[in-house]
Amino acid sequence: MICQFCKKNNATIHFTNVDGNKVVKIHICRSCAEAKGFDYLKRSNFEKTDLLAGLVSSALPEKGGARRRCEHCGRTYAAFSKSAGLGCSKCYDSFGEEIAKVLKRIHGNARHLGKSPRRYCTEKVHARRRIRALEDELRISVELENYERAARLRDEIADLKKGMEKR
Amino acid sequence: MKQKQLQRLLKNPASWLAEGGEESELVFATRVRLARNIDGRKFTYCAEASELTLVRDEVRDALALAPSMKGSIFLDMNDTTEPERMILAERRLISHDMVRRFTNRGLAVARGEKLSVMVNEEDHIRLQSFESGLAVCEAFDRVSRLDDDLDGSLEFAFSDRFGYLTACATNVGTGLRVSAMVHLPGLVHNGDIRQVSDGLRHVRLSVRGSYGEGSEVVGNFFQISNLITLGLSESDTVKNMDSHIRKVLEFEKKARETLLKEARSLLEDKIWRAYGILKNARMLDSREAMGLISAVRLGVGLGIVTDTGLSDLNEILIMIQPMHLQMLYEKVMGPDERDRSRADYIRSRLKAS
Ligand SMILES: [Zn+2]
Ligand SMILES: [Zn+2]
Repeated sequence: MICQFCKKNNATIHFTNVDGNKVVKIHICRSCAEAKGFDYLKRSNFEKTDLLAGLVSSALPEKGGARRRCEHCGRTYAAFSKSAGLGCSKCYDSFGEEIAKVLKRIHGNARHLGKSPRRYCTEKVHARRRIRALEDELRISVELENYERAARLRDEIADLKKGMEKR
Repeated sequence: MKQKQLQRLLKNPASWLAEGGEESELVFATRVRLARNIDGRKFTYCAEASELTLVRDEVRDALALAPSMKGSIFLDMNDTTEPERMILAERRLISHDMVRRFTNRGLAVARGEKLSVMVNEEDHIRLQSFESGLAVCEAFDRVSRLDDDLDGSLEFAFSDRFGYLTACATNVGTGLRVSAMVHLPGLVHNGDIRQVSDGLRHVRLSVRGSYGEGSEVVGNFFQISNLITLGLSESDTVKNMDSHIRKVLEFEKKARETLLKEARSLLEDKIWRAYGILKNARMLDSREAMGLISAVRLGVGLGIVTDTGLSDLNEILIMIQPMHLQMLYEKVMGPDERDRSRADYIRSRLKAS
């Protein structure tokens, strides 16, 4: 399909815009979309419904998985994959590894780093986070062949792990 | 009482607009937002009305106890009219979506509008902080303090693995979105804006137009925001955003310098013509007005125009939006009448200064 703005490029973005009580279908190419500014696209919820749907549905689980539901709120995986929207906090458990895959695709990462509610701020949690961060550094050091630093990091991680077992 | 508070809020544009702040010649405002949900309650996509009212009341009670929201007002959206909600949206206190879908939703606004809370928008709680100019740290600290206040009385949905759990997978983790509304006429003029936005997208920041009624980038205003919320701590997000934005500002300053050096007379002519039109026009649609204000804003930044200031121009940008104009002139207006009032208002503001 041809972009309806420049009438030249291939339209790669498609969405439905509600203008007053009129529904307008829009087919636009990447460069026109950028030239027109993302405000337009955002208003029509472009980011969520189209871009994300692509990210999510490509991580769709094996046969029948789309019909899987969260027991707590009833949301189906299919509904999630359409909008990237979840029904409740338990959905994050219910859709398990698929969610992790989607998050990895969106954020390039699938593990939280940063603030946590006070009730989670135990020493153990802190130690676990610190270990995770050090493990990342270790991986990078090995990739960069900085073995001296890697050895130091490995020791530090071992110490932290020992400390956790004692507690 | 409530009605009076709401009226006062609507009639007076936020005081922070006039504060200036760091890099305010290039940065209109910084906004920081945190998304939170209450543990054990369904997210807004799935929650029934009864659950949403429970959430709204719980959050309202928690806000009443929060030291950083002392003296704030809480608006039950069920009690607001559509024009009122449109003004709140033009003021960025609520989302455009909340104008139409407002039942069982709420909004809390602290004095001065620097801190506000949307209740039952996409997430149960969206804490928002505004600062004039570039002030990512300050805006984050303020919003994070309120988060700490609420953490005492509300139990947030959180998992060790995914962080703060949000209704949309794009916000999970820190739930932190930092945005800067920047004015980049120099980069638009020399065409480097494309390269700069590509660079920002490459580091997973989004760039889009930030003002205007329609579709495009209007008045050379852009909004730069972070996209990644999982696996990047709050302090790193804040640090990254601050340094990326400063880099963009550096490019913009260089572009302005070059413009001045190579085409001073042309540039001055363009700025003074724009100023002349703003001071004399009888009809201005919002896109033309924004373009002219952009030129005068550049003139103020370069020290060419000295008899008006950024705080006036910032306030004008807010007040010439369609619903604000209709509130100001206390009547419903069609597009032509709005264009007339817009020109009237701008003339009166620029003459007075
Ligand atoms: Zn096109
Ligand atoms: Zn669920």
